[in-house]
Parts: sequence; C-alpha cells; structure tokens
Amino acid sequence: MSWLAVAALSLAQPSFTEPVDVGLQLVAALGADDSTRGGGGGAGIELGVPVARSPWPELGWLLRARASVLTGIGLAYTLDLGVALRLERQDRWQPDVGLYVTYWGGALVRSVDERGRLAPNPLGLQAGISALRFQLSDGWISLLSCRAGPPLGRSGAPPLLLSVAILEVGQTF
Amino acid sequence: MAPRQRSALAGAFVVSLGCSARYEPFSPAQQSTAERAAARVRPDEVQRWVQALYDARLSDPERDESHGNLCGYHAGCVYSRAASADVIRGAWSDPILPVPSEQRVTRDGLTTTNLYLDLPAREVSTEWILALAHYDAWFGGANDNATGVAVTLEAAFALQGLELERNVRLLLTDGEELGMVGSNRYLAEHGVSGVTLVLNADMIAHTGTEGGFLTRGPAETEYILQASEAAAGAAFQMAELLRRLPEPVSMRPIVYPDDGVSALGFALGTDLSDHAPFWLRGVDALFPFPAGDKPRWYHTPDDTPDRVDGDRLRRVARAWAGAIAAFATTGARR
Repeated sequence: MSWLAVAALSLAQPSFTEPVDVGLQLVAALGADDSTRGGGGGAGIELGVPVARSPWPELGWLLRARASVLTGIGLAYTLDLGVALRLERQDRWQPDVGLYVTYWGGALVRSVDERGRLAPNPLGLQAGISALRFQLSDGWISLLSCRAGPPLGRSGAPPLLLSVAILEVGQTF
Repeated sequence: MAPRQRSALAGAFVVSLGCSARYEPFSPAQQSTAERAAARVRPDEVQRWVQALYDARLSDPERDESHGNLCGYHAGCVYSRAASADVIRGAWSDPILPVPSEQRVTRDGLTTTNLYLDLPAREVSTEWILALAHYDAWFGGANDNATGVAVTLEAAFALQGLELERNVRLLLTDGEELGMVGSNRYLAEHGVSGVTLVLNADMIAHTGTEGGFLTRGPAETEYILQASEAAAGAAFQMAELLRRLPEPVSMRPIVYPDDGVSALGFALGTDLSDHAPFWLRGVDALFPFPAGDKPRWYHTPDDTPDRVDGDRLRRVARAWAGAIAAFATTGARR
C-alpha cells in the first residue's frame, strides 16, 4: 500500500501542479496458477499522473495506480502500479498501452505446499491496452481496457492474471 | 465468536495481507496409528464391496425412475438406494463391529435412511471425527459412490481395537444425489456439536482428466484435497500423512475462502457433495477428489466397476482408514 500513500502525499503537496486523472471502473478479473486461483467482478479506482513527454509530441507517459475490490469466491482485491504511453492527439480518441505490476490478495483459492505453507498472494506483471478511450467535453470514458500477464514465480497451465475494466469514467483534476 | 472462528478470521486477515500461514504435520504417534490402521485394510474386501453395491443396484427391486430429470446426463435415469442400504447392513452385521444405527426420515414425500456406526474413544471424549459417504446412486454407480461407501465400510474394520482418543462416526448418507438431502437431515437431527472434522469420500478412486479452473493441479497431482479455510491445517496434515504412507497417495490441499461454497466457486468447478452442508455450518471438512474434470461416464450407466482404478482404490482405502485414525488420535499419547 506504500505507493498509495506516496500518491496521496503527492496529491497533498501544494507544489504539485500536474493534473491528476481519477477514474472509476467496473472491473472483472481472473487469475490462475498452480498455487492460487480466483477473481470476480467489482469496482476499481485509478489515479493517473502525467510524468513525462515522449520525443513524439502526441505521446505522453503516465504513472498509474489502481485499487480494485472483487467479489466472486469471497472478497478479493488487486493493487496495480505501472506506466502507460498515451496518444494525446487533439481528437477524442486517446488510446494507451502500458506495463503494470499487479498484486492480488484476499479471498483466493490457495494450495498448501509440501512444507505446510499456504500459498501467498501472487504478484504479476501485466501488459495493458486501452483501445477504446475517448475524451469527452468533461472527463473521459473508456471501454474494455484489458491487462494480462503472468504471475511471477508461479507455474500453471497457463499461469495468467487477467483483468478487464469493462467501463471506466473519469475526470481530470 | 468461537475461538476457531476467530482463528480462521485471523488467518484470513494474515493471508489477505500477503503473509503466508504455515501448518504442522501429524505427530509421530498419529502417523504411527495411521500406519497401523492402513495396514489392516483388506483391499480385496473393498473391491468386493464395490462390486456388491454395483450388482445390488442393478437388481434393486425398488429402483426409482421418478427422479430422472435430476440426473441430467442420460435419459431414463434410474435412482437406486434400498439395495445399497442392504449391502451396508450386511457388511456391518459382522459381530466384531458395534451395532450400527439408522436415521429414517420421511419429509416432503421422500424417505431417506442414513446408516451410521460409532467407534467410541478409549476414554470418554466429547469430540467426534465424522467420516461420511453417500450410498444412493444413479444407475449402478460403481465410482459414484460405491467406492466411497466401500472405503468407509472397510474403515470400520481397520479401526477396530485401535486406541482412539476421539470418537469416530462412520456415516453413510442417503439422498446426496437429490441435493444432499440425507446429510442435511442428519444435521437437522444431530447438529454439529463436538464434530471436530468431517471427511467425505465421494467418487474417490477414478482417474481424472484435465481438471476445471478451480480443481486443477500440477500434472503429478492425483487428488485435490478440498478444504474450507478453517480446515487448511487439517488438509495439510492429511496430505502429508498420505505422502508418507508405505503406499502413498498424492493429495494437493486446496483451500477455499470462507466456508468454501459460493456461486462462482460452484460455477468454476468446486465439487459439492455431502461435506458442503458441514462447510456451511462452519465445521471443518475435507473432500478429496481425483484431480481433473468429472469423467464422461459420470451419472451414466457406464459408471461400471471396470472404470474403478483398482490401484487407486487399494491405496486410497488404506489412506482413508489411516487418516481417520490419525485425526481420531490427539498425538499427546502413544
């Protein structure tokens, strides 16, 4: 949770001048490896902060942090932190691609290994794409943003952490 | 809130934060008791009971075709119970065993008969290990669930004379295929007071296929040992015990959050059987199931004795008696 604290403190800094995107999401997620399985549907909140411009003027880098709560097999959660490269043209279509570190916890189905240890929460690396993100006159809307990638250090057939932000609406502050 | 519930809640909180709980195996005394019980199992008798239950069902004069819509997999589904109960009564009529009891209930037009046999602890104990299996079946039901009944029948003989420190009840339920009717009626009358652990044997000796989303394990996994969150420690103990037996059985403990039952879990492959009503009442319960999806002959006339994996049946019958014995021993005394 330390990154959330950092994000919150950053927001509280009077000298912080970059706009902050705040998006509310309807999320569905599923994760599976040989040690843990789970997922479900729920709500997420994501913060995005522009951190740099790319050499190409229409492309900008964002730092993103998301927390989501999922209900399925009990109550699970995900925490994501990553960077995304967004196309910021003058028209409304503003897609992005990104790379995220994701942490899953809470109510997951877990195995117990031969040393008696209950499987810990998985940490994964996900590639993400928001192909259907559109700037509105006030805020934005995004549909079917996907993130997928493997849990780190886990086996399975296949080991996969997948999440889809079915709908996201947001505002820039 | 009961101490066990507080403990489970604390465990869930620890896990949710990402810290991994760790469990301890059985003590050497419990392992020793388990090995003695396992060694007493008579594999030929277990195999014979599977065949006897199958044969009896096929010739059951009280076969019931009125529940065909519940079978779902095959037209003309036939449901059989009475002949199986007679086989059980015959097996447990051996004079070396305590006299079994019956719970007969008629409600909503359905009569069910649960049969159970108690093996009391050496000294007075208020704690019970409940080992159960359902005896009702679609068609001949060699795997589902003559195998579970057979290993439970044999456990009565294997545990005879062992110095148990907890009471053991071997419970053979009716009406599982109709929605766990027998186990729910058992709970309605007997409750869960004193029950420290439930072991459910249902379809316990077939070879699985690829496995569902929630029931799949690594390729070498023979069994998924399904456990509610509070039973995680017991699941590890059982898996570890069975791994060390002279004829080992590979079980992978899989712990389901909370009470182990949820709509999504069920949809994704959590296998529900007679342990589920106990899970829902907060009782620790374990359910081993061969890793993989249910086979194509599940709930069809093709569930025949030749589809029972003989090697598995022998090993799991020993494992079943061993596990019951170990859980019925506290480990404090040899």
